[in-house]
Amino acid sequence: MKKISGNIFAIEPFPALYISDLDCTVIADLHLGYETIASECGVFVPRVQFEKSMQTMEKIVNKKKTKRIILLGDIKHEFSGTSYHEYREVSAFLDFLSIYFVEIIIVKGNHDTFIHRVAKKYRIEVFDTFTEKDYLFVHGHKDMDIKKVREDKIIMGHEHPSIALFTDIGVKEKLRCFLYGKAYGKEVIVLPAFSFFAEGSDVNLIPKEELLSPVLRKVDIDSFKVIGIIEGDSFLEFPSVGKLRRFV
Amino acid sequence: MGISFLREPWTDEESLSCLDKDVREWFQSKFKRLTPPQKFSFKLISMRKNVIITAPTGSGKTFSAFMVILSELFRLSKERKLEDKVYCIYVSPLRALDNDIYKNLMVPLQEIKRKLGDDIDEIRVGIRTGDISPYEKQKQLKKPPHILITTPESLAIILNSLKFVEKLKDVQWVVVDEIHELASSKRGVHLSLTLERLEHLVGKELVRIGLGATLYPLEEVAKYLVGYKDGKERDCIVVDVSWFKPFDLKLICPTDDIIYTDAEKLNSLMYKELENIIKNHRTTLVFTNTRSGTERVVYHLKKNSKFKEEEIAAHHGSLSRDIRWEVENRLKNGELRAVVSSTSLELGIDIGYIDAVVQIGSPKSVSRCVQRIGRSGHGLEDTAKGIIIGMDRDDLVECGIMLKCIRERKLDEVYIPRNCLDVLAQHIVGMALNKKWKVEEAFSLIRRSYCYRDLPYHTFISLLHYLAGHYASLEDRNVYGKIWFDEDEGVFGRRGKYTKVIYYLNIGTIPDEVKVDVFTTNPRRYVGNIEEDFLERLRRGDIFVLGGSTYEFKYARGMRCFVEERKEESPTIPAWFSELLPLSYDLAIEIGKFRERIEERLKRKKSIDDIVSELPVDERAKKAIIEYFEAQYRYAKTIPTHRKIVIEKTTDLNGRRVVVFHCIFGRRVNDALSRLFAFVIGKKLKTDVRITINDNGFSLMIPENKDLDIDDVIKLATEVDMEKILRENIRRTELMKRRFRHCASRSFLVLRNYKGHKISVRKQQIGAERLIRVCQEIDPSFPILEETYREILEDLMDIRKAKEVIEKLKKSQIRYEVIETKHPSPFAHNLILLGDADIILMKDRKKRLMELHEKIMKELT
Repeated sequence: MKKISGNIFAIEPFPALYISDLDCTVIADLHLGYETIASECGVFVPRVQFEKSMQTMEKIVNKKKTKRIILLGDIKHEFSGTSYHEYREVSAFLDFLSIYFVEIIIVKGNHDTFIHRVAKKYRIEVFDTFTEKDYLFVHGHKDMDIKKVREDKIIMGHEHPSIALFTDIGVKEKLRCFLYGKAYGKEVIVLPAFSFFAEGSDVNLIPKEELLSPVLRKVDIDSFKVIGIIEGDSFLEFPSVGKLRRFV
Repeated sequence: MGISFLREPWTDEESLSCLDKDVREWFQSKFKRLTPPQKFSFKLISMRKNVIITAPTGSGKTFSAFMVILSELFRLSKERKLEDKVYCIYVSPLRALDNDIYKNLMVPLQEIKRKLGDDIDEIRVGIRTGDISPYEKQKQLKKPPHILITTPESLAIILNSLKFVEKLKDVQWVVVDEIHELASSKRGVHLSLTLERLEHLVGKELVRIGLGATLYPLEEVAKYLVGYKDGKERDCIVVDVSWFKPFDLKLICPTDDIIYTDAEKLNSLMYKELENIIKNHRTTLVFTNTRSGTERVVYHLKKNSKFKEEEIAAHHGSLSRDIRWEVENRLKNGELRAVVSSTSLELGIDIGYIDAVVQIGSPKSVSRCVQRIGRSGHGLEDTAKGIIIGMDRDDLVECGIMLKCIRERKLDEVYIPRNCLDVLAQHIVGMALNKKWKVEEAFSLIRRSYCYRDLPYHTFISLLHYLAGHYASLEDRNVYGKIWFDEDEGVFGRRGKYTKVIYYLNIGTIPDEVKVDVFTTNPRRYVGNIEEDFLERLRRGDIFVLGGSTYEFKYARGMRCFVEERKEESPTIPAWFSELLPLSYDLAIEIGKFRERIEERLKRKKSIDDIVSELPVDERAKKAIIEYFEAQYRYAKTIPTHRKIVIEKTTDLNGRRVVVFHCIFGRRVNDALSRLFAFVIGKKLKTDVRITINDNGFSLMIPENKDLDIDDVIKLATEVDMEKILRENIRRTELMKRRFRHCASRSFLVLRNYKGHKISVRKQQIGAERLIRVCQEIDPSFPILEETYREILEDLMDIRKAKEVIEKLKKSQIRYEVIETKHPSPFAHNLILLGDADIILMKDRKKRLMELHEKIMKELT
C-alpha cells in the first residue's frame, strides 16, 4: 500500500484508495453497462467488464478489508435512463459489494441519472457530495470554488487520468494514474477510472485548459504528483505532471 | 479444358457472321473493320464461352464484349420474345465508368431501333449504383433493364432485394470490367463471392466475360473470373491482345548532376522539362505518385508557366465527383493542355485524346506503368507515348529497368488476396438473409470462388460461430448474433430484426476515409486536415508540411491533432509517406538481375556502358546510372543483388550506429524482413531497435556499445518462426489497431451505420486496443483478429515471399556479405536520409517502464 498523505493510501496495484480513519475504500468511474451502450451504437463489444470488475474488487478486498466503500460517481455508463442490462449489472454489483461491505455510499456522477432507483432498493443513499470529518467526496464534473470548501481534503474522479510516456525510440506507453497535490491550501486527490474500457486522458500531454474536470482546470495540475498503475503488477511513482511534460 | 489461351483470331467475315443482320449492318456502317480483341471475342461469346480479354485503351473493348449480347437481344426483340427481366449484368469498379458504358451502349441501341422502328421491342439499359433514387429503383422493378449496369457493392445488395432478385433469375451474361483493378483488392474478393451467389441463384452457368488492361499472369485472373466447380477451375478462354499497340518510351533525367543539384533547382529543372513536353503535345496526361504531388505540379503549371490557368487541371480522389466530372468533360472536348493525376485517371474512364503521358518519379510497378502510359494514343494504331522523369538515382535505375521490362513485355504478377474472413462474414450474413442454408451447401458454394477455393472447413465453422454471436452469453445473442447457427443440425439462417438493415447499410469493403483535423495549440486555429494513417505515423516532435507551412506535432486527442508552427525547420517526415506505392517484387528482382550483370562487369574492370545503354534512357540518366554503380562498387567493393544481400555496418550522419541491409525484394517483402531482423537483433542485444525501410532495403539502428555478430543473426533469423514473431511484433502497433477497426467494420463487429445513425469513426475507434484485448481473451484465434493479422502479413506485407527469401538464405541460394564502412555507401544514402521509422518491441513492457522511470528520476535529481 502506498501512502499518499495522512490517513490516505493507494491500494497497490489497483485504482482504489483506502482511508484509514473512515475505515473505507474508495473507487471511481466504474461505467457499468458500457457494452450495452456500445452495442446500441453498433459496436458489439462482448460483455466482459462486469466480470473483470468483480475480480478486481475481490483482489482489492483481499488486500485491504474495510467496513465501508464509497463509489465516487459514474457507476453506470449511460447518460439518459437506465437500460435493462445496466440496471441488472448495477444491481448485481451492489449485491456483490454488500457481501464485503457493511456500508455502501454512492456519490453521483454525470452518468448516474436514475441511479437512485437502483440504490433505493438497497437502501443506499445517493449524495451529490459526501462529507465526513475533513474529507469532501465529489465526482468532479461540476465546477466549485475550492477556496470555499470547508474540508481540507477533496477526493474526486471524473477525469480518468493517465500519463503517456515515450521511450527513446518513440514507443508510447499509457498508464492509468492517481494524481494528488495542493490547491488553495487544500489537498486534492484524483482517482483513476476503475472501468476496463475507460480511455484515459493523458494529463502530461493535454494542456490544462483541455482537462475534463472544471475543478482541475483551476488547479496547478503541473505540480501534482503521479502514481501510475502497471496493470496487475505494481505502482510507478513520478514527482509531478509538469516534469513529465518534459519527457514526452 | 480449364484455362486456355487463344492465339489465332477468326476472320472479320467469320466474326461478323455471328451477329444479327441489322446489328451487323449497323456495326459495318460505323467501323471499317474489327479491332484485335473483337476478332476473337465475337465468335467466343456467341459460342457462350467464358472469356477474359485484355487489350489497351481505345481498342473497342466495350463492343468486343457487348456486340454479340446486343445482337442476341435484338434477335429476341424482333421475335417479340424479349421478356421483362435482366439478361446481362455489367460490373465496373467506378460509377464514372458505368456512366460511360451506358452512353456507349445507347448509341447502337437507339440507332438500330430507329432503323427498325416499331417492329421491335425496346431494349432497356439501366444503371443501378448507390446514387440512384428510390423512384428509379421502383421503375427498374416494373420495367427491368435488359442490361443492368452496376458496381460490385450494388450487385451484392441486389442479391438480397426480395423483388428485384426475381428479375435476375435468368441472367445469361456477366461482364466484369477493369478486372485487373478489382482482382487485387478486397473489393474483388467480395465480387468473386457475389458472382458465385448469383450463379447459385440463377441455377445454371453464367457466361462470364472479363475485361482488363495489362495483366499477368492471365491464367490466375481467368481463374479468378470463372471460379471453381467441384474443386476444378471452370473453363475460360484467354484472349491477350494487350501488346499490339506500339510503345514509345523514354526516361529522362532533368539535370547533368543529380547528386549535387539541390531539391529546389531539381524541381525547377523538372518543371522546365515538363513544360517542354506539354508544349510539344496537344494534350498531356501527367501522373504523380501522390495527391499532394499532383497539387504542387498543378499549382506550379498554373502560376509559373506559359500556359493559361484554364488549360491545366488536377484530377485525383480527394476532389469532389463534380469537379472530376467537369475535368473529364473538358479533356474530352480538347480544352486542356495538361491534366495532372495521382491514380484516378489510371482506369478506363473515357477522357478523349491524350498524346503523351508523363510520369514524375517511379510508378513502382511495371504493370502500373504500362497501364498509365497506355492511356495515351487513343486511336487503334496510335503509339502510346510515355516519358518518365527520374528524380533521384534509385529512381533512374528503377525506371530505366521498368521501361526495359515493358519493352520485353515482362509484367509484375498480380496479387489476389485469399481467404479474407471479413469479406466472407459479410456474404454469410447476406446468404442467411436469403434462406436457411445447410452448412455443407453454403461451404461448397463459397469454395467455388477462386479466393476461397482452399478455405479450411473449421475456419468457416468458426466464422459461423462468430456471426451467430456464440462469443457472447446465451441471453445476449439477440443483440450480438447476425445469424442463427445450429451446429448439430448443420444449418444456419437469418436472425434479428435489424440484421437486414445492418447488412444494407454496412455492406462494402472500402474503409471509411478518415480525416484528422489539425489545430495549432496556441492560439487555437484550424490549419487543415491530414489522413488518419499519417497521424498514426507521427511521433511527438515530428515536423511535417501542411498547406505550405511546417508544423511540429504535439499531441492528438481523438480525431483532432494539435501542432505548433515551426518556421524554417525542415520536415522530419514526408507528408506523402502513407500514400507511397511500394516497389513490386518482380520489378525488384529485375533490378537485382541487372545489378548482377553490372557487378560481374565491374569485377572484371570492364565498362558497363553497353549494359546501361540497353535501357531506354537519355544521356544524362545514363551517365548518372553508370556513376551510381561505379561509385557503389568503388566504395563498397560489392553490389547487392537479388541473390546477394549486402549487410553494411556503418554510422549515420549523426554518428549513430546503423546496420543497413541492402535487399532488393520489393518493399512488402522488406517490411516483413526488417521486422524479423530487428526482432532477432533486439533479442540478441536485449534492446529495442529502430527500423527505417524503403524499396531498396532497410536499416536498423543499434546502441553504441554493443557488438553484433551478423553470422549469428542470420543463423537465428533462419531458425525462428517468422509468422509468430511478426504477429507478436505488430500486435501492439497503431497499424494493428487501425486495420483491426477496418476488419471489425467489414465483419459487422463495429458498424459504420446503425439504426439510421452514421457512426463516426471516432466512435468506431473507441478502445480499439481494448476491443482487441477482449477478442483475444475470448479466443486467441478470434476470426476478426486472424483476419487482421492475415491482412497485414499477406496483403500489406508479403510474408510468403519473405519466407522464401529466408529459406533461400538457409540453403545458400541467396548469399549474404558483410561489409563495414565509415560512411554509408551510395546505395544506402536514400535509406539513411529517409524520415520514416518503425520500432520493434523487444523488452517486455514492465521492464521498459521501469527503465523509463529510472531515467526520468535520474535526470530530475
